[in-house]
Amino acid sequence: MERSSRSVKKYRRDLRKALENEYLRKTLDNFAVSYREARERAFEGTDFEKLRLELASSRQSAMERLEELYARFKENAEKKGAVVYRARTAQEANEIIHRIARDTGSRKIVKSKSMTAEEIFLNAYLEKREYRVVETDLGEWIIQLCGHGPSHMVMPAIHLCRRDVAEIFQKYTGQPIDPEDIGAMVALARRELRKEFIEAHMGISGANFAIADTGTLGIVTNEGNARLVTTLPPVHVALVGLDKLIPDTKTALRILRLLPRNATGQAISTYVTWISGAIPWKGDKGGQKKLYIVFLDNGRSEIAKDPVFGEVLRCIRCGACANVCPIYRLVGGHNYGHIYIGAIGLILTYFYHGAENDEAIVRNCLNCQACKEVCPVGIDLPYLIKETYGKVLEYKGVKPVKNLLLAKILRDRRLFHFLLRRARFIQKPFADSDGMIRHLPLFFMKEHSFRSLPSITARPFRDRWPSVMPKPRAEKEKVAFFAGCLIDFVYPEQAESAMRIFDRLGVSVTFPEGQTCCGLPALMAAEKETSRQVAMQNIEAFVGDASDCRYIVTLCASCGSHIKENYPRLFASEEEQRRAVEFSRKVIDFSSFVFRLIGEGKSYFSASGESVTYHAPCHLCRGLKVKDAPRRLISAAGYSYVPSSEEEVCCGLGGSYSLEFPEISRELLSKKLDNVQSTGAKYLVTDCPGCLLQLRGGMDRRGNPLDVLHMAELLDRALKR
Amino acid sequence: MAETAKLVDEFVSKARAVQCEVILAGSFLEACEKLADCIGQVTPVVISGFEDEAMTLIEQHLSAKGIDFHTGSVRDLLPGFPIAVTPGHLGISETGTVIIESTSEDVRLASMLADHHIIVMPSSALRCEVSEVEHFLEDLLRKPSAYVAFVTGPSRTADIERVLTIGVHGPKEITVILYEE
Repeated sequence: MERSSRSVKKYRRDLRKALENEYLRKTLDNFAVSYREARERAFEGTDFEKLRLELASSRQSAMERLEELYARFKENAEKKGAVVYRARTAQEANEIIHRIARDTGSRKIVKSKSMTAEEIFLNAYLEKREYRVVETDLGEWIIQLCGHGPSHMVMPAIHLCRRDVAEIFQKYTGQPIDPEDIGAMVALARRELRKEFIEAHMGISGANFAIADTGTLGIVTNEGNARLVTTLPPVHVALVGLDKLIPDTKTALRILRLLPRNATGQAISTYVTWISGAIPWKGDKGGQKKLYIVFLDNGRSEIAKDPVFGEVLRCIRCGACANVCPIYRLVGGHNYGHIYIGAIGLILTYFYHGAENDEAIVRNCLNCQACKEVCPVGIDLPYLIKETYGKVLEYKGVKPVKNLLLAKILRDRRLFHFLLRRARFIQKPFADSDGMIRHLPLFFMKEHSFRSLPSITARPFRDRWPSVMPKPRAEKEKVAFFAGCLIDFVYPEQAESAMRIFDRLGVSVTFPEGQTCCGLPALMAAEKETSRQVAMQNIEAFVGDASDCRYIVTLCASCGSHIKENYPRLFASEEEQRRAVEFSRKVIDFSSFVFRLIGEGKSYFSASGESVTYHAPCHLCRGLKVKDAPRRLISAAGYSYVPSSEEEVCCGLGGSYSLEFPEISRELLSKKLDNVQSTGAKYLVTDCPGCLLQLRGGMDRRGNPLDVLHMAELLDRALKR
Repeated sequence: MAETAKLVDEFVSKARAVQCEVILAGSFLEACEKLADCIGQVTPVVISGFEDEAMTLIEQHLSAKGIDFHTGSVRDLLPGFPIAVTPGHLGISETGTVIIESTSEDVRLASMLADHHIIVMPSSALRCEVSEVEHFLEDLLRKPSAYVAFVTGPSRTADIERVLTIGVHGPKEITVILYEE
């Protein structure tokens, strides 16, 4: 099914429509929860990290030897009677398959599921030339009958309800179909499609992997249709992306340990089919089946050589990155991809279907890292999505105003801070007496009004520093403090709380004045040069009186995660990289640092027993991989920790994401706040000022049933004086 | 022996979790009896893939119960038939999987087109984990042509509203008769 490209404006309209689709919302919501549980059960007792590292390494080395593997596969498969082709482009692949159909007199074709075939629009190509192509995977057959594209890599018809399917089957058979009897509908598919299998001249399948050592194709399925597609007809054509090549059976079994568990939460799929060479066929032409294997390049061999993007070829098409994506959960696959769906789809679309088809969807990423956490081959999806966005901008040749401003302003720290201070006066007329901005001027569209906004402070933290600097009686530790823009210019009181705690705990602090924005907003806008420049400014600022500190503590998980993960890879020269690594190694988030210092030590705090629930910032729980310390700190500080549902799902801020896609941001926030409110807790605590901005702003709109605090504020409140 | 018993227990538990029936038998002969019970009066029955010796024993047992089975090419029975019986060549306890060497078209069609697929396998064929079948699998795949099937329970789909339905294109029922060798 062909897809047309979308402008950002059209895309946002489609998103709004999708958000209103109640059935889709409910289905995807249920799926998100049950998938998470099923996946957890499937991985119980196994070391996912270890399995992932092994598979990532296998897949990476396979990609690096792509040509060698292809040559070996071709040699081994041809020895066994297969005919092996290599198509440079989608067009070529379609032509080759057309030629095979023509030469073998195959008019009726049955297909088992193949994302590669979707990628090249094979069905449309063949149908235009009067071939009858029947999809046999139940979900694919259903959407073929109604003309939809797949909305998920593994469950293509998830967007259709039983009534939809009954209607589709009714139209097909001319008989009434009971929409409540799903078993009967499946039985109908079994009957109807069996006829197709038997009458088909050719079966087209994909392959999950292609083993070079033995010229073997591996197919992972549950329904049994791939088995019939590759057995009943006299001709079997397998369409296989070059990236499916692996060296040996060992690697195949490694893939099997992860693919079904990650895709559907099954320990193994119902069927794994291994086809090696042309096999016997006893239909009326007799003898041996004709086996044609068509490898598709379509840009893969170039990607394999790319030092940044090469790793996307490790993908084993498990679909997990879509399954855990909070945005996919809201809008479904037709809006979270083009042909390929999910985080990987945002990247692959650029390469396989062009920048025009990627330009809208590639922006739709929160950078919440949920996909990266579950990717079985360790692809850094969020990072590559931003890199892809950079390529799309290059292609367009025109940068958004936001990018131009970022580049000009951020690089000059004094200019940046000057403007921030001045911005306060622009905001002043709109702020209420408590500093919150609840009524934006008319020209701000009402989509943005789902949360109140804080105003820029009159006195940034750096101005207050001399008077709030900790002066502990006995110094246990000396740390450097990295504030970040939000703490410095919007929430300086949170840093003041932190300083009071440091004072009490015997920690002295140095605050280098030359520090500036960490640079994350620039990287998210694909402004790499700007990001690199501010990173170096920060590294330089912390040389000198901060160089003897073991730790650089930050109250902002986003800054911390960006510095730790991204700083080292922003620089090309060895020297700069070394400095970046040294700098980033010291960075630690506030909660981890305090917990490290006091452990369960409750003596510093008066036990109030007040109930507190927690929001885990994406950049803390997945970026910095800190999950335990904050929760234990809550109890250590004398509060009663009440867990809320889905604590680790994104709050919806995503930095400037909430400005670009406010409807999605609002939905995510709404769900989060509902979960938080149902705990009945008195406080909501989090350790990132970005999340705090979003959460407090949303809570304010709800009349503040809970107070939203930064961990520093929560601890400060309980600190024994 | 205790090792095998553990493997059997694990296999039974994992197979049952994926809607695969497992029947235990003390010997191949007993397995033939259980097989006859499974089949009952249902017809036609396809039997495929057994070694000559085993096949003779099965034939004898079934004939004695008045059960006859299809002897020609399985293609003659298109579009399908109620029961097929094949051997299982290796089993994986970790997942409840049976590995069937299926290069012969008859074995393939038998295992794909039947409503109820019965697999007869010795408990000595059980292995603990997926990784342990690597060499067995590789040896098969090195042959000039090979079609090997990993089968774990009956065919299934959740494509309609994520409701799990057993029995799509492949068998709706799987029974493994596991006998002690």
